Parts: sequence; structure tokens; C-alpha cells
Amino acid sequence: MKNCGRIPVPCLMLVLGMALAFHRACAVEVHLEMDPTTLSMNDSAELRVTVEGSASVSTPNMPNVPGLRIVYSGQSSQFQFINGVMTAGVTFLYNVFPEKEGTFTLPEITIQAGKERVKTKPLTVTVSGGRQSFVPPPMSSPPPSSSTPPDASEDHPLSAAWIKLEYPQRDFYVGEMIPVKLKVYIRDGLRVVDNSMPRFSGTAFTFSKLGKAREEVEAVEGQAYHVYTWDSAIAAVKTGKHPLGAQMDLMILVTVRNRSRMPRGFFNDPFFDQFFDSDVQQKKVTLASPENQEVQVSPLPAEGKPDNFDGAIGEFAMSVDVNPKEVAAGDPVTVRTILSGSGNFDRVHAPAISKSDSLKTYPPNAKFEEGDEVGFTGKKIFEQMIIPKSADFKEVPPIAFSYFDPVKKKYRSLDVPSIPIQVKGIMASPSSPRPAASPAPVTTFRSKGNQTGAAELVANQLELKGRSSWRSVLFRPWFIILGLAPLIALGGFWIVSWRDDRMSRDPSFARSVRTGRVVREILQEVREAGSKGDVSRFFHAGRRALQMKMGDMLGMNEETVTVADIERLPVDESVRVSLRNFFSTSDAISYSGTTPGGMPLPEWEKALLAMIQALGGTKSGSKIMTSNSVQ
Amino acid sequence: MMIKRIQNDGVRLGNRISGAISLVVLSSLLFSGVLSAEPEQIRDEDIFQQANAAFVEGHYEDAIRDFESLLRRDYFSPEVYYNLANAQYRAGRAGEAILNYERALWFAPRDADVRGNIKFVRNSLGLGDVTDVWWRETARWLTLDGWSWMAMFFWVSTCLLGIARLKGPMKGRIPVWLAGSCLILFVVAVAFLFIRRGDLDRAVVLLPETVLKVAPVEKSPSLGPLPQGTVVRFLKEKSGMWLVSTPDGREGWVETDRMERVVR
Repeated sequence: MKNCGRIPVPCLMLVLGMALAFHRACAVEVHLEMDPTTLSMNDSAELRVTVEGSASVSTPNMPNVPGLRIVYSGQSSQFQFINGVMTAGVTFLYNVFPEKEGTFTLPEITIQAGKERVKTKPLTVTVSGGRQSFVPPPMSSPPPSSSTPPDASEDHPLSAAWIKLEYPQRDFYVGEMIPVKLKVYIRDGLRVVDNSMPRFSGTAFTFSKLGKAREEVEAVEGQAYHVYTWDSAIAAVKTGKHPLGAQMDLMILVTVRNRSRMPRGFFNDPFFDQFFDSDVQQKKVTLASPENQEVQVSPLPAEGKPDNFDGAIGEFAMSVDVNPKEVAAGDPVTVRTILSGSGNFDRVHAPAISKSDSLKTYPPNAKFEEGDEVGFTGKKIFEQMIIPKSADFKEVPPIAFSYFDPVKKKYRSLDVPSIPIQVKGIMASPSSPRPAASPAPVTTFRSKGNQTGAAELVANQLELKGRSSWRSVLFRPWFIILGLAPLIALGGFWIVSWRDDRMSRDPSFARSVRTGRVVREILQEVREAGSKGDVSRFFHAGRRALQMKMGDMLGMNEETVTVADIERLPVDESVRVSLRNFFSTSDAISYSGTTPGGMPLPEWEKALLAMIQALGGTKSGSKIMTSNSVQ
Repeated sequence: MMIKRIQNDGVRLGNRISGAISLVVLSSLLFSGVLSAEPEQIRDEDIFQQANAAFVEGHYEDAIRDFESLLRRDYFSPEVYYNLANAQYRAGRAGEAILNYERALWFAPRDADVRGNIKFVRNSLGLGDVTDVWWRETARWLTLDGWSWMAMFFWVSTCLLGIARLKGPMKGRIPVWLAGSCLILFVVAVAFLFIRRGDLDRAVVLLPETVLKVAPVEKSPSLGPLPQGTVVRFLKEKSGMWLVSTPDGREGWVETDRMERVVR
């Protein structure tokens, strides 16, 4: 007890935990799973037998289920330690191939796991009818678990499958499109688990896409073969003799018994033993057509080549339809040309109509409707829009198409004569209903929900008629000026007219206007005399100007105005003083010829301006005096 | 000495003339694009024809792209807007089609093709006919420029008749009557000009499922749907939304990216 008392508590807990984990690990469980459990013929499924709780598991003995072939494909082991619990397990993998339709039951499978024997639960498998697939159905011979090896041994894998390229047995031409059939023969029973798509070989050809594979069963020398056929087409690009072939990769299952190398169970583990002594192996094989297949490619003959030949090789027919046949000038007409047949449609170009003085044309558009998967047969439809400009256009010009017939080995031409149409006068008013010519849907459009008004969208405008501007003239300065100019002119004329009218009716107004005009002239003279220093002329003109203003104010003739009349003026006394002073100075200069002392002429000019202003003024006089006084 | 001076003057004059000629030639070359490194310009007419060809072939998006490239070149014309609208309608862009029909009508208000097609597209959208008040319909008889020039004509006529009456040979009442009539017509034209100017505020709903909102906020209550292609009147903008007035008299807010003004 004392010793036990010395054992640390954590150690005890660890031992207890490991014991518990070991106990849990010892619980052996087995699961049988298959994915999917419902499959069709030609399908396969993966079967898994999982044993948990033991790493020492013998390979299960698979029961023999009639209708199912179960092939061992390997095993894997797992060890996990989760939350202190260790789990060991082994998974055995099998492939299940159905051999016939029906519902099958995998019975219980007994497995030896360590010292325990555990059993799986039964599993139900449903096999439905086979679907079309390239992978052939498994052979109906006994399953590979039996000791009988299939004919498709690893030594002669190709004896059970081959590839074949079929094409017309004749010379070809450069640019010609040649239909070919690519066939793969696989003997019934050969187990193909994967395959590549077949591919062509040959450097002098271009190859079209492969169509969908067709499967059929064919008997070859009494043996059933699954034949897979692809349609395609090739085109020769170089003259001369060139090889042409096809290849395809297959992954097949072959059964091999190789006991001579190593005794079975050398490692006593199926996982390792499978690498050395496996019953079934996958093997990749490449099928190839005979290497001696060669074809002769010739150039197109130069002799007899039409001018409008554009590379079309094959066999074609042409039809042309024009709609509508009655139109207004400016309305569109659709010319529909259909070239049908077989050949290199990619080299078939539109036999277009050229524009003329009376005809506007648009480039044709093309549409190809394939008649087969590879585009060797079909029809190419060209639609060209033409617009007669005037009633002078009477008929759609002839349309011609040329091609080379590789079978007849000569060029051929297809010609459609001109087609008359009726063009009515000038283009109808845009708002008028268009002719009911609607087979040309790209130019006129039918209404779906129209209740009122137009039955269809009116066609596009065909001509530009010049630029417009979003900025209205209303917001342009020159337009505003254009509107103001007559207003100013009218105003000016009105003012002149009003003044003339008043002058004729009002003598005092007329005299005032005249006085103003004369005073302005006199003041001009005053300015000139002042600038020249001509004192006598200055005072003479100034006195005269003052007299005119005083006479105008007093209603007198200016010549009769004297110094005495100054007292009658309705002005301030200071103005009167200035007037008296100016008049006396003027008299002194006139009578004595002396120059006034004291005040210089510029000052006199200022004084004269002030007096004129006080007597009623004159704007221009003010300007004159101001400019003069500045000088 | 004199001869030498004359010779010098002659040489100087010759140099000046040759210099002037060189300048003129150089300018001509520059303007004609000879010296320009840019490739030859594509003509507007060629783009227009190319767009029409794409339209005829059913390549409506290509046609739209080409017509819009013309607009980017500042080639505004009713033909371009009309054809663009046709292509947009065929491409399933009915709202934009109505916008561009309206623009075509702005330049060519009496064009029967445009009127017919816009009516057709409106019917196809279930919008029906919307007839405005008579004075607005009358104002749409002419473009804004048309009314401007008409007003200008009557104004100038009024002024000239007035001048002729004041100072010219025309006396009596006839020029007064004529001037008075022209003045009245001027006033009428100006009135319609201002009514037509109101169309500068027209906008078109471009997108379906557009909603008229009470306030210019995203989570505002709805006043109801605003069908694609509806022509509304723009009142003001706030917070990335437009206050608009609808033909049925409602006023509400719409996101600016859901509509576009007719007049650019």
C-alpha cells in the first residue's frame, strides 16, 4: 500500500485512460457500402468493406453473385487517435460490374478481424437497362476472379480493338472539304474503363470537329464487335501525296496471372500482394489506323475557271428570292439568296449585288444552317438589303455563282436571271404607311400591341440633313443685340421727331435749343482762344456766350442784353458779381486793349463755365471748359 | 547711288513678298491638314451610313454605338436622334428610345415620322396618348429657335414701320395699323416662345419600376409607380433626386439616375 501510495495520481489516470481507449478500440465493427447501389449496364460501382476496431483483418472472401462481377481493386488502412481514443481500421475496395439487368443481393460477408469474426449486412444492388456509352459492356464470360484468362491478354491487347478511317476513294483538291468516318472496333467482352477522343493525324489537312459517336454491333469474322462511329470532315491544304490517319487511346482491364515471379501471399497482405500478383490490371493502349494510308491532293485546274469563282468546291444549288417586288423609291428590298448542297461552305461567299446610280446597297449578311454535325452539308442564306433610289430601277440584276465539282472534276456556274420589280415614283411621305412588305423584318417592324396610330415603326432616315445645335439663338448675345438695335433706332428717331415737333410749336423751346447749339459753338471758340492765349478773342467769345444765355433766360435778343440786365437775372448774387466782373473785364479789353492782370485765362475759363452753368448750362460746354481748364 | 537704293528697296520688297507667300502657304498647309500627323478624318455621313447598315442587319447595339459616336462628335440632328431611338427600341431600350424621339422632336417638332414612332412606342409601353393643354401643343408647332426668329421678325417689322411712320415716306394710319399688328404678333410669338422654353425642363423616365417618392430620401414612402417612358417636368434637384411633375398632376421625387432631361 505504501508503494501504491507513491504512484503519482496523473500516472494512474493516464493508465486508466489508455485502458479505456484500448477497450473501445477492441470493439470491431464492419460496414458494407456501395456507391451507387443503383446502376445501369455499362456502368460500374465502387464497393467498400470497412472494418473498424482492428488492424489485423484478413481479406474478405467475396461471394459469387450471378449477374455481378466483383473485382478487387485494393485496400487502405487507417489509424486515428481522437480525444484519447485510438481507432484502427482497414477498407477493402472492389469494382462491381453488372453483367445483366435485375436486382441482386450481396449476402452477408464474414470477416476475420483478429480473434473475432464479424459479418456485414446484406446489400441490395439494382441494375437497370444499359445506356449508350462508348465504354463497352463487360464481357459475359466468367468473372476475372476465375482462373480463365480473357483473350485480351497483355501480350496482344490490339487484337481485340482497332481504329479505321473511311473517306471517298479518289483524288482530292486543295481546299476541298472531304467527309470522313472514323470507326473504332472493340470486341465484345473487352473491358474498357476509359478512353480518349479519337484524333486525326496528318500534316496536310485541317480537321473539322467530331460529331457524336454512334454505337452499333457488327459481326467481324463471326465475332461480335461494338463499333463506334464519328462523322467528321477534313480539308486538304497542300498538294501532293500525304499520309492520313487516326489514333485513339484506350484504358482497358486485362487479367494477368503471374505466379511465377513470386508466390502468392509473400507479404501476407493483400495490399502489398496486389502489386506483384494481381488478377486484374489497367493497361493503356493506343489504337492507330494503318500507317500506309495516303491520299493524293491535286491543285484546282486553271482551265475553265470562271471569273467569279471564289473557292467553293462541292455540289451546290442556288435560289434567289426578292421581297417585296413592289416598293416606293427609297424603300428597302431584301434579296435572299440560298446556296444549298455539300462542300466547303466556309468558302462560299455571297454573290452580292453592286450599287449603281439608281440603287443603294448594303453589305449582305450570311447565315449557315448545317445539314449535318460537321457542316459538310447544309444551306447558306444570304440576305442583302438594296434600296432603289428612283423609279428608273426596274429589275434586280442577274446573280451568278461558280464552284468546282470535285467528282466531275470541272467548274460549274449557277445563274439566276434578273428579277423584275416595280418601283413607284418618289418616296412616299414618311408618315404614310409603308407597304405591307414584311418578310423583310429587319427594315420594317410589325407592331405587337399597337392600338392606335402607326401599325409599325417607320424606317430609319437615310440621309443627314445638317447639324443642329442645342444652344438656342435666344441665348446668344448677338441675337439680343439684333433685337435691341431696332429699338434703339426707333427711340432715336422718336426723340428727334419729338424735338422737331416741339420746336415747331414752342418758339421759346426752339430758341433755347438754338441757343444751346450756338453756345456750344462759341464755347469751342473760347477753348481755342484760351489755348492760344488770345485774350481779346477769349473775352469776346465768352461775353457773347453769356449774352446768349442771359437773353435766353430773359426772353430777349442776345444782342440787346447789357450789363444792366444782370440785375434782372433770377440767379444768386455771387453769379451776378461774377457776371459783372467778366463783362467789365471784357469791356476793358475791348476798349483799351489791355491784358487783365491778376487772374490767368484758365481761371477765367473756370469762372465762365460756372456762370454758363448757373444760367442754364450746356453739357458740351461743360465738357469743353473742363478739358480746357485741365490744360 | 539712287539705283543701288532702288535695288535694295526691291530686294527688301521681294523678301517681304516671299515671306508673306511662305506664311500663307504654310498656313494653308496647316489648315488643310497636310502637315498634320493625324490620319484622315472619318466623315459623319460615313458613320451614319455604317450605323444604318448595322441597323438593317439587325445589329442594333452596333447601330446604337455608331449613332452615339456621331453625337459625341457634336453632330446633333433629328435624323441621328430618330435613328438612334429606332435602334434603341429594337434593342429593347424603350425608355431611351422615347427620350431620343423627344430630342428628335425638339429639333423637328412637326416631323411625322418621329411623331408616328413615338406614338407607336408609347402604345407598345401601354402609356397611351398624352395630350397637353392647347397652348403647349401650339407652342410645340415650332422649335425654340423658330419662335425666337418669328418674334424677332415681328419686332423688327414693328420698329421699321415705326421709323417709317416717324421719318420715312409712310404717312397716315396704314403704317400704324401694320406696326400695331406686328407688335401684337410679336407679343404672341414671345408668349409662345416662353411657353416653348418651358419644355427645357422636360425629362423622360428611362428605367422600368421607377417609383415616385414623397421626399428626397431613399426610404421615403411611395406616391406610386412611374412607368418607363413617361415624360415629366423637372422642377428642382436636391440630394441626388429630382422633384418632378407628372402628366397626371402628381409631384414627387425620383432618383436622378432613373431619368434624363430631354434638352441637353
